[in-house]
Amino acid sequence: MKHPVLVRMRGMLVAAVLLCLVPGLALAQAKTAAKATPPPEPTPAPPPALEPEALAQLKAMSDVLKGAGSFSFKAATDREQPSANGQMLDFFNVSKISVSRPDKVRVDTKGDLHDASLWYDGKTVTIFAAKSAFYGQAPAPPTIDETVVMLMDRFQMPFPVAGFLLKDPYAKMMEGVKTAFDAGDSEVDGVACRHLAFSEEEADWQVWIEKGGKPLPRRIAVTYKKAPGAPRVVTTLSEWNLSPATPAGDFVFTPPAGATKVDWKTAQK
Amino acid sequence: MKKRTVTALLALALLASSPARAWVAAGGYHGGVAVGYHPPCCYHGGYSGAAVAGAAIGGAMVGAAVASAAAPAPVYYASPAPVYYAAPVTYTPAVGTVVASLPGPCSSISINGVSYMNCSGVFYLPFYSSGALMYQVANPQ
Repeated sequence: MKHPVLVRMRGMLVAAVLLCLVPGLALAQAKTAAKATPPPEPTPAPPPALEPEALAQLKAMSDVLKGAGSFSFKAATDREQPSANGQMLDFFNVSKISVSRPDKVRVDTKGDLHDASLWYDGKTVTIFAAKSAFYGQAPAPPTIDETVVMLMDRFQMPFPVAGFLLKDPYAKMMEGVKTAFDAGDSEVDGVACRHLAFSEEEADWQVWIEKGGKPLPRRIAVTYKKAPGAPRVVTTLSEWNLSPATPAGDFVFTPPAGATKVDWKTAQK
Repeated sequence: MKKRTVTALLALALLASSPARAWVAAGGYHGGVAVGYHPPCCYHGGYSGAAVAGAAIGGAMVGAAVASAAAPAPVYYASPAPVYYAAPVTYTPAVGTVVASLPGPCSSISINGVSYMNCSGVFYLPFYSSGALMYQVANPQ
């Protein structure tokens, strides 16, 4: 069906022409002209809110991660935070992340806002700031999925790559997604990628997935559109290793001599 | 046919919006925009060393800065917003002030079984918040 505004505009154009020629008949003629337009052609159906191709690519990425018993990667994050005058400031962190399913995670982060390591060994989660003599510790649930949720909810930890660590990344990442589409070809650090765009109520996010046999996530960008200034967090993932030789001991925290345990604040709700 | 498409789309939209909480939105911003956005710290006046150090001279100004910066943030933040300043700092911060780094040189000390950092006679209680080590000015007895 042609857009009604277009139909009306065409009618008005005819009316304008007639108005110049035969002022007295303009109105009646315009009505006739509008009625005389040929039957409108059908317009193509609008694309689905969730494009199957975009979902399929996210699913393929998810399957690669699901299939890996252990993996490690580097995550470089650029995080926007508003300053007091509303101006956005960018803070940079680089993390080395090692995962061993179903219950071990190690994160070593260096950067502006966070300079700390995290150990999850299936029973306990520990945070320890390098160069300090203090660590925080809490009992942890038995799976990575539950522990990641606890870290984000109770301890208010930012975890932009959390989705990739889960048992089923696709299922979790698609929660609340309202639109999904394929934004085309792209390249991240020289790696050919597919650029996908998703939107949720609170955030818009994009993910760049490597093309070819190993569709790994290479970048994730999230815009928190309901937060003041709509800050963005962009994380570039590299150095993927789907069969890392991570010693079991790397997931267990051993306090350095003289280190003491301090309070690890939880969210006040 | 057309009506069916519309109904299907509507169903899809309802289905898509049915989970109570979206994962990605929740994941990246300090545990989540979904539960409330809160910056981890406050930047009073400016972040450049000179501006921040200037703002930090004089306890009253610091107190005011902390109060005003903390006010608009939702209540989910686990502790008072920390103050960033350029070292060295020559003022005595008010008890309760939270900082992200210490004005060195400092030494650790245990008072009644609690660990503090003693920086030129000012005691800082270390704690972890939102994935980072912070210090709160304390008055250990």
